[in-house]
Amino acid sequence: MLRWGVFGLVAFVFVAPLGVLVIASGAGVWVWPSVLPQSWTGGAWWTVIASDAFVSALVASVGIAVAVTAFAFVLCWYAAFGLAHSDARGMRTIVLAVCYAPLVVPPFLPLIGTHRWLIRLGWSDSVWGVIAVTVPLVVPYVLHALLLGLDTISAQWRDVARMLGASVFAQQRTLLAMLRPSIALGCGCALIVSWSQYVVPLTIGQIVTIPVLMMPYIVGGDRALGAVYALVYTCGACALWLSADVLIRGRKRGSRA
Amino acid sequence: MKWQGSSPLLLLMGAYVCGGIGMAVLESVGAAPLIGTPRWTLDAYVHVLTAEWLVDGMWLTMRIALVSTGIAVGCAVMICMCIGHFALTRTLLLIPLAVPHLVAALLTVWIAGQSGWGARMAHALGIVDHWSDVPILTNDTFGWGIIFAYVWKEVPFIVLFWLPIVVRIREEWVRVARVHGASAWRAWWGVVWPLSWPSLAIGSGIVCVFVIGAIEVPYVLGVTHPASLSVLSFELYRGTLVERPQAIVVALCQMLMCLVVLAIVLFCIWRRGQRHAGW
Amino acid sequence: MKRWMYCVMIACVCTACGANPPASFDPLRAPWDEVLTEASGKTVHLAMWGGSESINAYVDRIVAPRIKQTAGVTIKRVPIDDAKDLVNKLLLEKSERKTTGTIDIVWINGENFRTAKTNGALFGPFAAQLPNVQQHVDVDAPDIAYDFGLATDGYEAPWGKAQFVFIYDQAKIPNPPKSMEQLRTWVRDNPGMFTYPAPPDFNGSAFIRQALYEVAGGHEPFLEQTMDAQQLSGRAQPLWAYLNEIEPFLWRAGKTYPENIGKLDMLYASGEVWMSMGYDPARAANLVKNNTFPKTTRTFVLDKGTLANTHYLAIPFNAPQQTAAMVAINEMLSPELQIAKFDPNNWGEDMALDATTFREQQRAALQRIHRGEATLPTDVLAKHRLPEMRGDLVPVLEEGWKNEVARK
Repeated sequence: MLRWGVFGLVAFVFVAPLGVLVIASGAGVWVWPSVLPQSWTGGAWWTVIASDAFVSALVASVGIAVAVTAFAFVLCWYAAFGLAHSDARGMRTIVLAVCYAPLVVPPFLPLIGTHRWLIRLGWSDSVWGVIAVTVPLVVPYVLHALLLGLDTISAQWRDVARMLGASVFAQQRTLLAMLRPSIALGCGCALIVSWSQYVVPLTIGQIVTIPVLMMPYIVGGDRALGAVYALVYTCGACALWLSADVLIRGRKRGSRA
Repeated sequence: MKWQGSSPLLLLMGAYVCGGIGMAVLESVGAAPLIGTPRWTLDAYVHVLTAEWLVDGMWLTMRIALVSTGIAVGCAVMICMCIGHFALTRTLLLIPLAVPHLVAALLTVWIAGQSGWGARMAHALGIVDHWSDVPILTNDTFGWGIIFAYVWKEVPFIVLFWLPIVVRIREEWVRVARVHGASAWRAWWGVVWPLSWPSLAIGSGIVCVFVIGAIEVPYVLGVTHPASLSVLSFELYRGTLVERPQAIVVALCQMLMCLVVLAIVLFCIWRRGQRHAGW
Repeated sequence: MKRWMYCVMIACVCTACGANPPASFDPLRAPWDEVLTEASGKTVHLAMWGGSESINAYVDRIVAPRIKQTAGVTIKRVPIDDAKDLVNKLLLEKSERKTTGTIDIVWINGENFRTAKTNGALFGPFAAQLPNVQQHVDVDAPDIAYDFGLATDGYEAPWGKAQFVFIYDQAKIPNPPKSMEQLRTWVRDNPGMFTYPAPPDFNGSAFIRQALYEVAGGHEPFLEQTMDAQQLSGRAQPLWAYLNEIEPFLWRAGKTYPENIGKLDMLYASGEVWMSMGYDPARAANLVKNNTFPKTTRTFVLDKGTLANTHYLAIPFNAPQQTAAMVAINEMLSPELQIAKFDPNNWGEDMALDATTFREQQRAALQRIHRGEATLPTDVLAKHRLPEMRGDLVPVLEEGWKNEVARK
């Protein structure tokens, strides 16, 4: 009973407000005190769906998010694998301090500097530049999820595996399978964080992504278009998370939380 | 494989953090101006650090960060205590997590604003006559609007961050405790809480630090003055070329605040480690 | 390691590209038909504020297809939310000597143009090369030759004219105020029903300049070339007094101001305030058209006039397709596209061209256009135009507002 009560409360507080977004996306005139709009219009939806920019922005956003997550995962995987059971405590602290730093630094600070470096390297205005600057932003989440998972696995299994003659490669493969939930969590976070970047694709890459399209409408006060893009954005982020969950973790709900 | 496996990552992150911040610091002292010849100067630091608005902004930022993190942690703990394994609620919480902060801020205006949807409902139910009778919940001087928006966004984050650990501890320990006759309440506070609070502390530290650094919510829901540090630094950044170094100085102040928060969290966890070692 | 090699490689390739300009063709000197041939088949990126659906649709559905058809140039629009970000990016690229950028045309004026031009971040002077500028633009008119007090010198070509108007709801305000003095009375009689966006929002900043002209003795002194920051601060005292005097009667008793024009429009749309404002006389009509604003929305100007400016198209110093950019800008200044822009079904904004140079047929087309109830007639607007003050003085006022009004 309690769990359903909490479920209802959570749904009401955290999900129901999005209903206002749905209403606003189709709202025409909507003056105080009407609870529902005085007139409805599908214009905003139509504008978004019919524009070429929307499709290419969607492709760019998803592509960048996936690429960023893949790069971050590979880098973090080797780092986490090395760090998890390493005796070099000092080294571990240094690596963690550097890797978690993006959480503590206001994001535009490193952007000012990295933009210069990227221009010097010839990486600005390219998708690679965007990826290179976005990867550090998602690394803390991926690394944290992986370490969290690895720390719960006893170091002894590796000794067992080694004694049984498993190669490093085989050890990693086993670990990958054991860590699926953590990997799904880390990659899900990485996908969402990179999906939501606005300044990086715009200034570093001059690449039009969904947030780049959305931002001027929201700041400019176009209620309907802002709401449509917000819904598209939210659904996109949910879809990315769920696909990470389904593809990486696999559909075995409930067996292990 | 030892820690060397982390060297590519370390290289990238080191380049990003040191290269990026280093260059920004150089710009703030006039050594790498956007245009013109380099000239070392601490003008930007003097201008910002002596300004009254900086102090006001710091107070506001601190207040918002602490209050919203506190409320969010409280709500998240209650939700975690209640839902346990219930996967449906957990999945539901993913939805607000996916909403961008800017949209969350906008939604707060649309719902909690004086002529917002909540006020319209109240009017339809006959509770208020005119929108001017509705209490001011957004763009208010204390920052309640900002706090609402952050709590709404961060509760799901903390729950999803912390819940897996709580669930694992429950699976492993609570059954034992219950067998030994502990009540559910005692099992929670006696077993689950002591084992899991460090990760809750880390989660709330992340949230607090994020709130100090993020701009969208205070930009939409704040008041013109005092403005949060993030809004101040953004406005300076978009201002004249003289103001750009000042924006960097304000951002460095934010970073400092974040480091303090982080240090406190880590200190608490470290102290617990010490105590445990003594047992 | 491979990553580093890759990036070094790219760096080499890019430096190599940068070292040799794409061709020795100089569009600033070549005859126009050669420019046209050279430009054909190219793609140009147009960076512009992306917050208005009518403006975006005008560019995407009318400008782009037409230029594709007439000149063979493809237009790709890059939406930005402040031209300032782009100018800063250009300055950075300039100081890092990045000779091949990404943006070919930028929609710009005022302080941003001043920063870009005085720091050599623009390509040109190109405007005099364009046939449509030669034929249809009155280049000596002060409102075109000077952009916020700075001579354009051909580094940008005028795209349209904007004027500051107030937006109100006829159903709620039968007789809108006609001067700042009357506005003060109206604000006092209707507490909470008026506010303005907090500068440095572009429109909020325009509002305080508008007020400055009227409460501090007319616009003439502020246009003097000798006016400096110190003098301006001195002369702005009556403005701060005026704004502080109305503050307690503003929305939320002046404890806060909307952070941008979008928020003010939202408050107006939901009925929390009864007036909005803006630097685009046609925006109200567009927002009525898409049902955001009530049908009874109208606009007004003040008896003594309101601020007017011209906005322009410029080419960055490192635009990869400078020739094609010139051709595209020339097309955007063609009578056909400018008349289409004037049509409220598209955008509804004033032309940058001198209509007397049009052919009979074009003038007739212009006559037929009805700009809608919410937009003031062109001659009314034209009679009430006041020139903008120097762009480098604008930040002084914005800073002054923060210290004298917001933080008091």
